[in-house]
Amino acid sequence: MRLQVLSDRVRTSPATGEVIPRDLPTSEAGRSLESDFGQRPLVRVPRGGVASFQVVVTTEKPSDGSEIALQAGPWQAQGGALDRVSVFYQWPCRLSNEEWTFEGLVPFEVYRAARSAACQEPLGKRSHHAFWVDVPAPREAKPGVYQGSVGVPGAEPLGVEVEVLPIELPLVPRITVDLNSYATHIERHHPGLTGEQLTECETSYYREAHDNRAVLHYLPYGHAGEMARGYAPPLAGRGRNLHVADWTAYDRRFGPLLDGTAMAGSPGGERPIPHWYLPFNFDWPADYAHFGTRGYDHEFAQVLAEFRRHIQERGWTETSFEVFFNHKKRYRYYPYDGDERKHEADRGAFRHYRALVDRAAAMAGPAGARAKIIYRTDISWSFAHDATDDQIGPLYDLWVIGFSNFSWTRQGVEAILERGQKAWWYGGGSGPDGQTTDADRLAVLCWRRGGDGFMPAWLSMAGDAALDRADPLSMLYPGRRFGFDRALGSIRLRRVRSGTETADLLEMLGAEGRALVDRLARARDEDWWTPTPAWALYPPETMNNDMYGSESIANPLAQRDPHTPAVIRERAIDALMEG
Amino acid sequence: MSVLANRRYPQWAPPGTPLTGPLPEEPAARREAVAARLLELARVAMAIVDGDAVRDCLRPASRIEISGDDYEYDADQCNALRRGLLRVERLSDLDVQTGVWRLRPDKPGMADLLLAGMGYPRQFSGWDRYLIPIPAAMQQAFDGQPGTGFSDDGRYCSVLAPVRDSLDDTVGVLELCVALDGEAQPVL
Repeated sequence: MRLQVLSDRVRTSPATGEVIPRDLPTSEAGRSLESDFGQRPLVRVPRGGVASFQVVVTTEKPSDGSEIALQAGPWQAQGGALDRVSVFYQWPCRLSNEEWTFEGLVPFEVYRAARSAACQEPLGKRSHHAFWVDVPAPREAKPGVYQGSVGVPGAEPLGVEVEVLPIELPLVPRITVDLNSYATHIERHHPGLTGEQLTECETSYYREAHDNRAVLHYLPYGHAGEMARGYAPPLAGRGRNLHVADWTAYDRRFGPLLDGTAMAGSPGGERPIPHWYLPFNFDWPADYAHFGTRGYDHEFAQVLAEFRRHIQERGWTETSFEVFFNHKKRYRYYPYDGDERKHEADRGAFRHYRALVDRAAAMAGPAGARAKIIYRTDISWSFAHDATDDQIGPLYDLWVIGFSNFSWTRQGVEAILERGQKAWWYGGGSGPDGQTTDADRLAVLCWRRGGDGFMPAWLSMAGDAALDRADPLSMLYPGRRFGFDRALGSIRLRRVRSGTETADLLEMLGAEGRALVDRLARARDEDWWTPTPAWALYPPETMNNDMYGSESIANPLAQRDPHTPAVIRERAIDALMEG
Repeated sequence: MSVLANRRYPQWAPPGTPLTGPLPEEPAARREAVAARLLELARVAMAIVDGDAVRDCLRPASRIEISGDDYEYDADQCNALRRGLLRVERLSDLDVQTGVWRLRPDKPGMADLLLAGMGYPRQFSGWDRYLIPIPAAMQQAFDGQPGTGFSDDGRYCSVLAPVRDSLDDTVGVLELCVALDGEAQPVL
């Protein structure tokens, strides 16, 4: 067997073991970074971060790879060790152009223990097998260079150094990466699980996202308002007597996520999940058959007040609990678009629900004042109007804005930030057919624009088939075929983690960080934004998708070497070390 | 003073058909009993579902082919209709899926789901499946008489009843659908 160590910034071909061409560096700085790594594999990592690299193993005969006894680490320095090393088998996937690359990451011990049938991936036996290695640097790790190696029996081990920096990442990333998904997907991808088994499986998805500094955001209700099992506590009574009947199951299932105990030992930080969709919607807890009455309003506000008090009592005060309406008229249930408002007539509904959110806060009083209940909107068509509107602008605490609208409505984003609200965008993410560092670029772009986060795609949880056939959206996969009813991560999810780390390093530099990014991206301040198209200021009712398709979106990093985010990261580290 | 005869709702189910209660175990008898119960529920629904709201709840521009982004209701009329559908569902101890269908003026022979209750009536509709060729039982309802339809696989029973507005015009068809295979549990 032959071993080769590669950086974490590229994908390789399962057929050749070579780096796929679109990931090759095109600038002097990028080439230098890669060649330096090739000559002396060294990963620099701030405390609280994760050092990653890859190993490509070439076997003498084609195989399924399960016989490769890859050993990695531990990494040791005087007075300490980095011993929580994880090795993942990279699963090959076919792209839409029929090329092959890698995306899903299977814990290698799981892969080796799996039945042989599970290891028969569609590409068949191969000679080139790729592994992903994560070496977390705990916050208490002593700075210095840690020596370690990777190897297989009968082959010369290859040394890899991990330099733990005297820089510590913030516990909460500056940029939130939101992995959106919808009720029932976990049950669908892991049929037959119930009770504790289902909860453990579900928690593994949250944990996989959290370990990579992202947030699994699992919308608990469907378009009619029907609830995923267990995602809302049972209610009793009606009208002024409506109340939560029993919190027991809700607390048992979600409490560990909300108090942070489910994240113990996570390289993404030992902290509660930062964002959580509440079950509140047009038909829960208030009965939509009474919509427009004082009873409906009372039911909504009273139960939300009860949530406030319960959240505070349980100490879940670090998580932002979101009231969000995902309903759309086109699905034939409701006359309002809770999501992506286009019609003027819908504004009244948004104002009304804001009033109910505020009413709940007043009803809860001091006993619920520390609960972070936020009102979220997902918006595109009307963004240029609403963000600066005197009535609509103040309504929301969190704006999740279409990528294009965010890009061409700088004044809107700045108005949000000036009000102390949060601005994320949705979209803009690419699949495994994109460059491996695409997520890094998004994170740096978001930071450079002053945004607070982004949702790369509307659905981040794939089914089993997407392991073999690349899914352009998903970053989480089911491990069921390997006898592992847990979430599998992916290379893109690892890049999310890296990108948010880079954004944190830049944040530490402040203005110097912005200047650094501008210099390396060869961009001026205004180049990070797209000029507002005239039609974006017309009434939203006059807009259509063709208009969106006709606009190109500014992203100076997209025109540069795919390794530019890595160059930015390394230069940021240099600057922080000098400082 | 008694109710004028011309204002009474039509009796469609066999007299004495209950809205709730146990159903026969034997499959054929069970199908027949479910259909009768839905017919009786449809009669009650005529008193609850507002025909004028059915006629008016969709904005004129949305009555023909239109982008989903632009699909738009008159909110008050739509809420009135939705309120009615939700209430009808609660009258039965079966898990009844309700929906109202309308004719598509730009697509002869096709029906479009105007509004659903708590779930799509699954015999003829589903996620993003709103425009369908009009089945025979639904056509019968558009023609003014209730119809009953069983899915080919035997899973669903639907009763389709005409919805009339204040001019006594048939302006839509109410579908009441039940899964016969036990997939949907009684809700009461």
